[in-house]
Amino acid sequence: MVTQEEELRGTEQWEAKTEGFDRILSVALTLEKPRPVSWISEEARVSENTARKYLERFHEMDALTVAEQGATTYYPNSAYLRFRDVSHVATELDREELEKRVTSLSEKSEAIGEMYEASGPGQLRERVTDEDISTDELRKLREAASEWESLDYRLSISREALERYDQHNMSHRQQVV
Amino acid sequence: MTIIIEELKKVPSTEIVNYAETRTGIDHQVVATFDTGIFANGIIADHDAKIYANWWPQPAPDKAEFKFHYTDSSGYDCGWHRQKNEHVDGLDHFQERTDSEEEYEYEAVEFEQDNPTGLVWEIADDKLKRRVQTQHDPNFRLSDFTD
Repeated sequence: MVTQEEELRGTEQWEAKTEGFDRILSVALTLEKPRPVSWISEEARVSENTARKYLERFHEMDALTVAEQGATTYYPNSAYLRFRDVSHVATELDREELEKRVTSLSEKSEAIGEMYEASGPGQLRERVTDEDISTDELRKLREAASEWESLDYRLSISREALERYDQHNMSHRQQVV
Repeated sequence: MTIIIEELKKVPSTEIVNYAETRTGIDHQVVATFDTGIFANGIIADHDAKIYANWWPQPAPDKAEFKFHYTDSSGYDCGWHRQKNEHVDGLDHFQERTDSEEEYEYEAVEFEQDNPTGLVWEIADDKLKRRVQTQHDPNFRLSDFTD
């Protein structure tokens, strides 16, 4: 039985249980705005030199984009994230499952529109600026708008995976062979 | 949410990580159960103990909002939220209550990490353990630790 003093906690445990490579990748691919190497290395608990080396490789792989903002900053490449998500869905589901998912997500998105009497999450975002809205209502609206955006993103990913299904699986099989 | 799921699975004390319906009923949240023999030094033999995680991206320049909320069969629940709230200044806060009939107590909180992956570890494997031990273990003191 480890004592409280001996037990690794939280980010120490994260550092002990995972590789620096994975920590840098997970931090870099979830950035909300461009960040310099120093910020990413500190968050990922790795040295700046190690972070710089991996980040440059992720950039060469087109997983990240680079911008010069006084210092070199990195940001996820949305095209790469989208390609990765489409590939994942296309390999996880077969054609029939993909068709079912597209139908189910489409129906759900339409039902939400009816429930909130809105044409899309953008309209919910506009309601957030209403001055008469309470803090609780504001919080619920922001949750709903974000979840609706997420659902619509998954719908678009599933549709694209369905369109590319044959092409993707053919190239995947060729790589395996 | 995929990142949250993958990281929660890596935290040693979590057992089953799945999707569940959110309060809005629109999209999913993540729910994880714990291996009660490992979690918080095995002080709670509670198979109903769960942590619910939500991640709500917001348009720039706003940060994503989130909620990591713990419940167990004793009636105790607590959570770390980044959401606007009337009880504290700023978005980041901790809230807890010992019974669902009670009002929450709130306090502002600062996080060491500012990325989703690190936050999962900081909350699920550190802050939450300390709070659960404080709640359920009379010999455990939170005195040298503040959220």
